[in-house]
Amino acid sequence: MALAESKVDGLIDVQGLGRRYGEGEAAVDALVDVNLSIARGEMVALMGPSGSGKSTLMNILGLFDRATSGSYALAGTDMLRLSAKAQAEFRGRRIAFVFQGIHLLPRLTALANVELPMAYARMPKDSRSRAAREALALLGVESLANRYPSQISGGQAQRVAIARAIAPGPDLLLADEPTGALDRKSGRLVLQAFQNLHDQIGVTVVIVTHDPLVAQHAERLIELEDGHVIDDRIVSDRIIVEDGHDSHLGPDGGSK
Amino acid sequence: MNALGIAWDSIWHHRTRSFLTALGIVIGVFAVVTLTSLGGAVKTYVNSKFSGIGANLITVVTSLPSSGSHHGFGHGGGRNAFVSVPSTLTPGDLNAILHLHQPAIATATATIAVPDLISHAGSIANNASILGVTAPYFGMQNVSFEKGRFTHTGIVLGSSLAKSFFGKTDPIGKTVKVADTAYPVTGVLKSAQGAPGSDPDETAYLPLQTAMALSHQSTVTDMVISAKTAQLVPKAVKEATAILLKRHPSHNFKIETAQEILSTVTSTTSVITDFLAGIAGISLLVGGIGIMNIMLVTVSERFREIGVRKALGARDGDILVQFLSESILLAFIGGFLGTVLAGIATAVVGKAVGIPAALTTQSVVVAVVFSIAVGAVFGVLPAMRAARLMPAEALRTD
Repeated sequence: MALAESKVDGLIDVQGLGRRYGEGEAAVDALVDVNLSIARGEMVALMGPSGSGKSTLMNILGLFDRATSGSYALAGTDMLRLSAKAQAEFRGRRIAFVFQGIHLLPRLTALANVELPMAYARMPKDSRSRAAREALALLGVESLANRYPSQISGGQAQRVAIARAIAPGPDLLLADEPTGALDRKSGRLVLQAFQNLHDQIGVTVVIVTHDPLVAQHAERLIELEDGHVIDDRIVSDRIIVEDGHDSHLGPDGGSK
Repeated sequence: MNALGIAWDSIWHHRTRSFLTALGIVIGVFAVVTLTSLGGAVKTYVNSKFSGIGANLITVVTSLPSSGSHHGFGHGGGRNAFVSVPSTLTPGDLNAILHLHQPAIATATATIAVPDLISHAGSIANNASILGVTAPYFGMQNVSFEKGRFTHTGIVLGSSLAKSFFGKTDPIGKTVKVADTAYPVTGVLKSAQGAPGSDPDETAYLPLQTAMALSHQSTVTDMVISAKTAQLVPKAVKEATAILLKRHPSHNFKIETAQEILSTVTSTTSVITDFLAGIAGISLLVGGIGIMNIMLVTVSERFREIGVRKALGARDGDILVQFLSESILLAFIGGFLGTVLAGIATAVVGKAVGIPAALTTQSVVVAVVFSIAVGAVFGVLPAMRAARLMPAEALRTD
């Protein structure tokens, strides 16, 4: 088990993190003594079978849930000491989510969906509209700006959702089974979008998945089982998607 | 975020459900506004009727002898066995009041109701009433003469009565019959409104003495005294009481002022209106509960939407405002529709009953404020439930 070297520019620092549900005899430990640090600009896959604790970990990283022990610092701020309101603000400004279900709001246009988090952050209409269009363009779906979710395909919708996630310029992009609801081709396009965002603008990406193939698109793989981190390694055989087709990279970074 | 826009969008998306939910508020507001508006109209109508008679009038009627001895006259005790109260007021009482010059009393009259029918050329006026009066009566009742005047020998006709007997021909000098005796018409009144229960247009007026002789009575039905001003009414009541007590030591009379009657009537209508509005208010409460129920359904239907919004940075307050806006808007729409319907109903009922009735500003303001309050109060619980939802919990319902 080769632990990734801790990088200087740390974004996430998790120490001795635990999450226990229930009390006494009926208590269940979803996470036990998790230590983890993720640097800015990394693309990490969080893998494990169902019940391994990966969703719990993502919920805690995304400030959806609170750890019952340990510490969690994001960009140097201790998250577990923040009030719910401060957490909501942090979540709105610094963290972005892409869900397994598409989760675009059906009665808003693609553009309005992308603007939504910036609207909640009280960003002025002009600048959020500009940022939203830029994000849609980055994902190659700017032509869909005025369409409603029911009028676009699943793959397109997921890319709109990714545009929504990255438009406010978050520090951290959390994706929970982002290709789970898509066919293979659409899934590849979405993974390509993640890779582009990571490679071109250096967004830190954490993808939660149970699919080893999806995990192979990341640079680093963290595996969980029964609430413990059992593996944390650099992906030696990373898959790069180009024009919707997979190609493999060796550990040296060259094309196979 | 434009919370009202989202709220309207959601209400419009579920049009049928929204309409049915708002219907509870529509009915509640409709009932409350219609009842209070109609109650207000009745009150205004009664007030205007009474102010036509004049606020400075005092009516004296016969009553059971006063059992209390607070006036210092103890003679009435043994006469309490009266079952009915035949009048004991006489023209002598009227003369006493007229001739013992009292500073607060302007003038006085007495009336007697004649239970006979009036006819002309064989046609009988079934709805007409006949009243024996003295000359000051007309001035005191605020009715004036179209033509002719009141004399001690003839009869005066109300405007409708004159028209039904004589049409367009001049009735002056013609005769009408009361109990087989012919009386010359000496005057015709202008059309006027009288106190509730009496209609001067449908009344014929005989001289008091003639009417008493006709009905074989030595007493009058009542006496009406006018004070010099409305402010002097209490003083005039005292003066009249003092004079009458000398003539009726058993205190077998009762003095009523128009103001007393008016306040009794208006307070009665107020109580009835408030009572009915209160009952109608219960339907508003039920409507509010309907809104709460549907909002709870809406919140659980939109768990996922709430979760997405929260994941995208919506604060608890944003979600609270969003759902509260929806329930308030829903209630407000209901209140608005209810008010419009109430306006129509009030106008229709007012027209049918014949009183001028319209929505009062007060009732509209109360209805709007109340419906918004209902939406806010009953929307709080669902909205708080939505706001407190954890995003992870909300997104789990896939």
